[in-house]
Amino acid sequence: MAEEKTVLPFEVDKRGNVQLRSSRTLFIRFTIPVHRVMKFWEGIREGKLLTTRCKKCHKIYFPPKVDCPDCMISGMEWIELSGDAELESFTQVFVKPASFGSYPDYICAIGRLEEGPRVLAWVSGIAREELRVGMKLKLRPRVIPEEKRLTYEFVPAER
Amino acid sequence: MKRQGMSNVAIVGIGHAKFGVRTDVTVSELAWEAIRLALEDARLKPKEIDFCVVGSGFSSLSYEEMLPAVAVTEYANMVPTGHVRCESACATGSAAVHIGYMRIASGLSDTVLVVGVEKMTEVDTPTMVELIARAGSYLWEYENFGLTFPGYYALLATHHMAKFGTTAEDLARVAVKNHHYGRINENAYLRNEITIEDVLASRPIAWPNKFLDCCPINDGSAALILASEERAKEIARNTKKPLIWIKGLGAAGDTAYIGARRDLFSIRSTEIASQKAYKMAGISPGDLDVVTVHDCFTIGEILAYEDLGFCRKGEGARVIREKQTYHDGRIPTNVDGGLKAKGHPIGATGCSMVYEIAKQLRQEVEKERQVRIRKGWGMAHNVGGTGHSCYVTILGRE
Repeated sequence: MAEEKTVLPFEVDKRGNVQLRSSRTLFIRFTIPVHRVMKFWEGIREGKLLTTRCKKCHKIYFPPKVDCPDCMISGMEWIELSGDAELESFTQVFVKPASFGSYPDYICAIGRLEEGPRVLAWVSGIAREELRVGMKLKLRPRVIPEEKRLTYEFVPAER
Repeated sequence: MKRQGMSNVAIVGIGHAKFGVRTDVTVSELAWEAIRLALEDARLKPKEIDFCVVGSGFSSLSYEEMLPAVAVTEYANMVPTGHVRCESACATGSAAVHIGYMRIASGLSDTVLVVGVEKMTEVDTPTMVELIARAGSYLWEYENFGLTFPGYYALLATHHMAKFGTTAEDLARVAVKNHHYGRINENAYLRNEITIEDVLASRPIAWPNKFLDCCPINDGSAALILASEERAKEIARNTKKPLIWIKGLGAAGDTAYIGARRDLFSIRSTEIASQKAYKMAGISPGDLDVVTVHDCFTIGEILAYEDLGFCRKGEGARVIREKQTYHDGRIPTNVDGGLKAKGHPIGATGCSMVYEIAKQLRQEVEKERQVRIRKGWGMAHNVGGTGHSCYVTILGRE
């Protein structure tokens, strides 16, 4: 009877070290509650930028949140932001995370809104080489139906 | 300042595994390499440790063990010693040291093992990039914008460059220095000299951060044994090694969302944590003989010079241009290669920094990078995330 050759689950890497590739894989996808700040996303769908402001101390929060720990109250009011912003910093991401692998080399920027808070978002409509710290940008809502994605982005301010 | 009713805490044993792509070992085997050296240094057996703190940032995500403190203490034959795994992003190892300090200062323990360990090469690089990138505000930074860690530090670099005139060459000078010392540190991962031109010509990772501005993804571990004053003196009689004392500690935090920071040209948690540590030790930056700072990206080291008070805001670039932080300079910094060349296995880094300071103060490092010990003070500065947390630890020689 011919001896059956056992297939071993090991492989030798380029350093000569023997490795086991785990049979048990892990795929993680989170279900994240956005229930309490849903007005923000409804605003994006309607072409508006909203955030929360504390009714008592008038602090404007971005990202929006429903509790003001300074005042210990939860009844925040929703306000509309102008979107007028000044560019404080930017980068272009060349080495991307696994789940962003299909996107072109995107530009991330931080802009300070006229109302005070800073926002991080992608920049479109301008090359990285043309960006200058201090220039005026406009933050605008964006809906990308093909990706089922609601987002917001900076674009150059109209001159 | 000696707190009433609290024990002084000494470092009585130190151990360091070789950093690098360590596909030859599991997380427990890797931790044991450093633990064994620390135990041998202190002439102790595993059972003589009465508590173990394991610093590890990515358990069950970048390597297979969910509860590394359990796996590591079992491998080290330390059962039934109590243990905890702690995490504070890239400052995990220093947070572990601070917990070890508190176990002893409070009187709960006499002899504590603190080990920082990380395996980052058991998953592919894009997955590791993904895991690290999620260390900001997930919903408001990552979900839509995929900002990576080199990207976060790039945002700080771009702003610093625009505000103060710091240049890409200045950033490169940090990498050149740290590779120079990595070459002569036997535990470092990257042991090659590089030039400013090499850095500038390397491929962009997250503009303006280029490949050689970034610390590598790698594996490693480092271990420290801490003891109460009474126990430390017993151990030292046996080992004949100088005792190194933990004299100052400071910790601070900042927002997850980078947009909510005070400014984008400094790391506020570094300022606050270091001021607390200086005050507790009763020293100022000019008293330090040697320092390790958090250079995960080259801009990180320039920010550290400023935020730790080595120079004024905006003058960090001048410090490196004038080579003030070389081993024979005014304030020797990262003369072990730093995160940049030695490597940055997340949980191990803080322990590795404290290891280096203790070893420098003992005057036991490679001769070419040994600093001159004048006042006997050294400091380890460890940032978690982009300043999300900061731990500063000041050591003094007896």
